[in-house]
Amino acid sequence: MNESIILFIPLCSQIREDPDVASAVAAIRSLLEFLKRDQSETILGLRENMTKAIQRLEETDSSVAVSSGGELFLRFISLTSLEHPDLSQCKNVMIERGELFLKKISLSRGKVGKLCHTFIKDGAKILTHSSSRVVLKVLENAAADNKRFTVYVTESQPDSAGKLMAQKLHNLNIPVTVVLDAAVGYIMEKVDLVIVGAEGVVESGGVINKIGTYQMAVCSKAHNKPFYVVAESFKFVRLYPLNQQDVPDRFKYKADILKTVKDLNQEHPMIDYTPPSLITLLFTDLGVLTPSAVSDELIKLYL
Amino acid sequence: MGERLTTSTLLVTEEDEKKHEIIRAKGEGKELTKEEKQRLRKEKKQHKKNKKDDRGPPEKEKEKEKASVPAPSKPATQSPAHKAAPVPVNASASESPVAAEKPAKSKAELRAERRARQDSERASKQGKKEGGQQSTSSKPKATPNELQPVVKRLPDHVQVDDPVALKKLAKKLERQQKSGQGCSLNITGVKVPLRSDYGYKVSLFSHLHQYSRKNPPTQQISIPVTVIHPSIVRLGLQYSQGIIAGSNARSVALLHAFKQVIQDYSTPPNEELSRDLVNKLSPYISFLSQCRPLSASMGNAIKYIKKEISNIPSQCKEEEAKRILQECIDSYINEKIILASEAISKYAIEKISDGDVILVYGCSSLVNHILCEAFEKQRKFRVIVVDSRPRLEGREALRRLVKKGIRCTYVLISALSYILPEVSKVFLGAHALLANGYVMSRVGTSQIALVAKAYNVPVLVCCETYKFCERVQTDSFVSNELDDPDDLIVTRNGKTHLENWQTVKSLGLLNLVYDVTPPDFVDLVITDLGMIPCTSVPVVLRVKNVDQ
Repeated sequence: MNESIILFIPLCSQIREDPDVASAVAAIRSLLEFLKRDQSETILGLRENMTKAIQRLEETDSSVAVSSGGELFLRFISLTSLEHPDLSQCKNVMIERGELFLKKISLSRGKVGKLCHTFIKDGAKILTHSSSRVVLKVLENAAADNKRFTVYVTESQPDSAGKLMAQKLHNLNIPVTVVLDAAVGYIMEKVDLVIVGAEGVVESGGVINKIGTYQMAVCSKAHNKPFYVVAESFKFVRLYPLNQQDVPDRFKYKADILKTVKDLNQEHPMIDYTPPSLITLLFTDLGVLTPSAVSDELIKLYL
Repeated sequence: MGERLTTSTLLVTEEDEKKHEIIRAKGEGKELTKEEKQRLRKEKKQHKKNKKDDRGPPEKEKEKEKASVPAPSKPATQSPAHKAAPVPVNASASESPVAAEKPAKSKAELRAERRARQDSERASKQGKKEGGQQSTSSKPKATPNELQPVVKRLPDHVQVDDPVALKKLAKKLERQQKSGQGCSLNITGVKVPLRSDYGYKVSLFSHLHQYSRKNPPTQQISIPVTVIHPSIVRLGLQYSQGIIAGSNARSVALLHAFKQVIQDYSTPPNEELSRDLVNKLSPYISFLSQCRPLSASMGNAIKYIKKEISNIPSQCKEEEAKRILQECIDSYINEKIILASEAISKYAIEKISDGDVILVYGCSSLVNHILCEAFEKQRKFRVIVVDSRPRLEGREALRRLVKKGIRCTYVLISALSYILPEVSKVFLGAHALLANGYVMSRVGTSQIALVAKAYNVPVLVCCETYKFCERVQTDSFVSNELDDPDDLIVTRNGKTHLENWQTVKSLGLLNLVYDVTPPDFVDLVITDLGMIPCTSVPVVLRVKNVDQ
């Protein structure tokens, strides 16, 4: 399919050019490009092609955010009256709405940062997990607000993403310490609050994030420390896992592993699920939400 | 001049009555009702003083007093009048031909005046009672056309230990049989029977009814039945004997019986179908609630029917109207029950994976349907059926599942903690979902949810959206149902130990039917709208209200 080539190229180039862009945003940008170049004759054909495109994108990058972002994009552009007799007019409307959606979500990280940094008090000790661009933005805003705080980052094996985060924080002149994943229980009594990002926010109000987040949440609950999650609204996904086993396999492992490996039981999952009972608050561009309010917002977004 | 005197004497006697009422009400501590009665009287007096030259209303009042009920219970008729405005209006309509010789205004103008008065009283009362009372009645007592929120009172069926409320209920049933007649004059001794309680009631639950199955309400109805339609009598008997049990079954049976009623209904002359049919249904509903208290699903179904009936345009012909109503009922059953269960099965099957061990409790038609569908879709799982006395409904569920070929295990609820380590998921049905996220279901359900939580087993509740109700309840005492206590008596090896339980003064047998489960124990609720957490029930209610 020619379309798949058209998709791969912008996606890869965007991610390489601008590592600051969330993978979901890059995916949506490619979808928009795809929409502009699509040749189908009917709206139904258009939708089918879009769905296939989203599937292709998921095969490339199996994160939850790409799947949720793609679905929301599709819903947003078609949630308008497409009663025009001319297909090209309909397409123009959809493209317009697509640009609007893209603009909105590009600004969402800034909104989240603005909301959350006020919860960081002067002299606070913050614990975070792995590397999240949203958490980085929050800490950046807090530092710009002349607040003094120190950050502990977990190493986050197997890809050592925590070291990357520590480097970025060091560049912002924020005092940072890297701790082992196994040292979360040890360090918990020293910290004041825990802030993590999310790859996906599920219907129950729980989050899907890098493996190790669930442990951190359980520890923080045991020590009565607030556990905050920062996520943009395009990460809201229509999943409802009951426990760790209930998360679909296509999110747990990287895309290339899913394709090549036969026995997934030998592979290590990259994400885990944190239930809503362990989360204090979620900071999104829709506002500051409790986990039970997430379902409310999801109903509004999807229904 | 003579008429003036009667008016003033009438006002004086009214004032005396009012004082009696106030003293009586004070003694019983019914603050709000007293206040409202006072306001009622004041406004009435105001109206009368404004129309001093008009003799119609006061004399009509006197007529009404003598004709229908004795004077002291006049306030009793006034306050229920707020809840069911068409009834006194129709009563006055029936009396107006009798009082035809009075040189008063026309009947329509008088009716309009009374309605205006009641509207103003209702508006002033609504302004005072903002927060509202504890629970709403599951039997809708407000007129269907009313858009303002009605004052919520404690329903009569949870005030059994209050003699005033009981008397009110008896009067209401009596009044209903007369209003059911309309203009016809063959008022026999037939009335909607008031069932009497049986046996010693445990004091915590003395505010609820407790009936005996050996004493069906139909025994007190003489033949021929002129007030209650025979299909309703049959339905009531089936409810009270437990032949039809289960939330969905009861609602569907109710709707079918109503279809029959509508089919056999004929509009009396000078009456509108949309108003008269609703009045005809009220004594039926009272009778059914005497047989067995209405469930939340039945309450919602009745609300829907009453709304549909009152929305029938007045120029519609009778046959056409009947056809519309039949179609409405059919589509309600189809959408809310049959199609909803299909949608719920679709979502639920996603949650059933191969190798699962699923625990179910009692017999829920919806959960059985889900399991049968999953088995047909080649999912590999086995089921553990938990059962409890005295109903032993699990045996019915076991029968249905084994017939399909599903591997089942059967335990009693006392073995629950023994069996739970093997279980991977718990599927529960619900009788109703309350507005604060609590799940009202068969007694024993909250026990299962509690123990499952302790073992970290996910609990899934399956419930159609038509069972969502706006009641709020945090415990199982306030509003429940007491079944026949004799069911708990068991004969083993020829010996019945509890045979003479009534003779032992300090012994009470408690046969509870429902209990409420807090939302912390429930992980997921599967409805026809999708999978939602238990705390999102008010969101669904809000969305539904917006749709309507």
